[in-house]
Amino acid sequence: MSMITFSENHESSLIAFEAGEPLASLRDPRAEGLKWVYSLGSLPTSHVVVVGLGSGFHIAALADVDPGLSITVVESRESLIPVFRSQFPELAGRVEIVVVKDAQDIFKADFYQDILNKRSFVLSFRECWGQHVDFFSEMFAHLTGRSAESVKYHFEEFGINIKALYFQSKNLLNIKDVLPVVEASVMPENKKQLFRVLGELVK
Amino acid sequence: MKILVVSLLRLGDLIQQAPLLQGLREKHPHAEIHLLLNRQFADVRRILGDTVDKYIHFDRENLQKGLGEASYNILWSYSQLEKLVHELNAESYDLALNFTHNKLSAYLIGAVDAKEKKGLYQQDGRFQGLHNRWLRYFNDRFSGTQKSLFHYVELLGKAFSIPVKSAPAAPVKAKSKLVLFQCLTSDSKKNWGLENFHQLKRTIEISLVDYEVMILGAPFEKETLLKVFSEKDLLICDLVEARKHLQNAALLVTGDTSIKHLAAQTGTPIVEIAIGSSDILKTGAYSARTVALTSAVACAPCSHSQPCSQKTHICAEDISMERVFGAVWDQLSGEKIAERNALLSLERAVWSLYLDSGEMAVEPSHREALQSAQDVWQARTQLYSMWLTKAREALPAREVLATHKTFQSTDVAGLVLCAQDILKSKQDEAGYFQPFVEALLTRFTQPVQIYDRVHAALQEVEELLSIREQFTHHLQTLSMEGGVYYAKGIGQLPISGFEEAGESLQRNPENAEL
Repeated sequence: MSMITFSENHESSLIAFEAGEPLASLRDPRAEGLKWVYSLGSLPTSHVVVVGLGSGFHIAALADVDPGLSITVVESRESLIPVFRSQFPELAGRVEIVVVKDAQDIFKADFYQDILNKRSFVLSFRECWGQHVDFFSEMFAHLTGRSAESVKYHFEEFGINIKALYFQSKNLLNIKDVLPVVEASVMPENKKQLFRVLGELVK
Repeated sequence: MKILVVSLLRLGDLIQQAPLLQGLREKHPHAEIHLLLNRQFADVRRILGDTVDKYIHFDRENLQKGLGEASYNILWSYSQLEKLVHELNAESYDLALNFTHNKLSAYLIGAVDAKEKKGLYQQDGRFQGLHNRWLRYFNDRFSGTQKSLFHYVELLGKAFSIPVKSAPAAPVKAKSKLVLFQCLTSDSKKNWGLENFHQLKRTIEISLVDYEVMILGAPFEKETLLKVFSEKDLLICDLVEARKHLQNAALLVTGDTSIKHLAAQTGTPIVEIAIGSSDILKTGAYSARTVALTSAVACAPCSHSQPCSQKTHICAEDISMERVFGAVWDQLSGEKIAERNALLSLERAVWSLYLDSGEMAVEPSHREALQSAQDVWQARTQLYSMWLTKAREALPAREVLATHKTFQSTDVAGLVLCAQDILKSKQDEAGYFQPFVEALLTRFTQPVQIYDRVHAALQEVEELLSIREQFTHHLQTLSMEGGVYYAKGIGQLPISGFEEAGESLQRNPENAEL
């Protein structure tokens, strides 16, 4: 695990560094966070999961722009959390931070079950991923149900055999990859019809 | 009674379907009519008004966003769709009508619980709802290359037994001297070009000095329109305001836009420039006062989803300003808009008889049409009969084909030659032999399969020709008698006179007493 250090910028904001690489813009981390939030447009949900905490300015911007939003952050670098909490104490009640060391561990975690139930919206802020791009990419795919390993958890309610999907490449899955499996599975016809409608929408 | 109408089409199509919805309301005056439409066209309620009791939105854009963007859970769109279907099922519909007629709507109606479903829907693993001959005709013509003899709205009306009234054929508005242009469409392929419209405006204003030309446009089109027209020429407005302007106009010149459907509803004469992917049979204005100008280039009409494959916009170039002005002149002068196509009206009558499987009232126009096109009509009848005989002779017996283990093209060589003759002649405008030709283009594994398909197609032709013969005979009889009967000794009696005569033949109790 790379060393995490912190340094104050010219605005006296604490910026996290990983192996010498800043996890937010040194010059204007708040503006960077806001720019990211505005790029997302309006979110169709009241709860989001954000992959990566980093210096936390993007989380603060997200909370600031949408005051009704509750946020769960998934992070592997525990040392970032106390600094975030001290720098943004007002977000204590709104931002939950979940520490995940190994991507495989999340399938057993309670918060993952909650994500499955809510079909949560997942955001990624790649600028704060530092040295862990592969890890966070994997996390993102698992959380959205777009990895071959995670899709069985997301589709658990349908009781379908998704083994065929293991032959898929490592790219993020989309509904089109799943449709042939759904069609070949034994499941209620009315549910299949809904998947067929979705299939028409992605043609 | 609760009725769900599924119309997941574009704005123009929704406006075009207004007569269908009005017909549905007339047919079921006390029913609760709900319309499922794409959310982006929710504004159409301002046009459709009280015809529909409840508007339900299909959030296509967000569903597609949820499917396409990685941030959304892979099942987010599924959840949204499931919610919508639950909402629909909670209404317990008595009848669901599919006005959309595509796979998307068929699957959706398949997922909805309704006591009765009309139109295309998917259930029990197969597409259903095409038992009706009109719907089958609609399905064949609108998915194939053969042109339809009937307008899309007319076909749906017939298929669902909904009385559809065509736009009122209002006389040319004598006092109005306003000509409106709708220059921009939703697709650049369908645009005739702002420069062309500018020239047309100048020509109209120079040649027809009383007339004023104004340009209609939506707020987002203003910037583009200002590149060619001055601000005082523009009428920037929403749909409701546009309808008011159209009511006061003498004419609308337009591309394939939703505005033309509004004009059709208000009875405003239309000159439509149908280029690019515009197909007047599918999206043309449902109005007797429309003159549609189409391009004769080989690629027209092109596919809706594909970009233009030509180096230049040849279909737009094919329609000259002079031709459009000619159509404008005809419309404004109130002269006969276009010569009624006699043959076409007769073919439509024959097909209507076939598709209705019943009787149809013969209109005086049919008699006139037959008189004016008798030679061609008879020649066509003979030609169709000859093709039918030839095809029947070329079709090998089922027993013979059943002995063949594999299918070879030589098995149906005679049929292929016959189909080639039909296609080359370009005489089958009404599509009698279309199923026959399509049967030969389909791939089969077993030789008997092609027999069954061709046999069924030829039976249909036979039935059509039989109807054609009876219909012609009926028209000829009326024609010979001129609508009046002659009886020796008593002179001329009108047809209604027979009713009187019939009454006089009834036993009179007073006479009996005497």
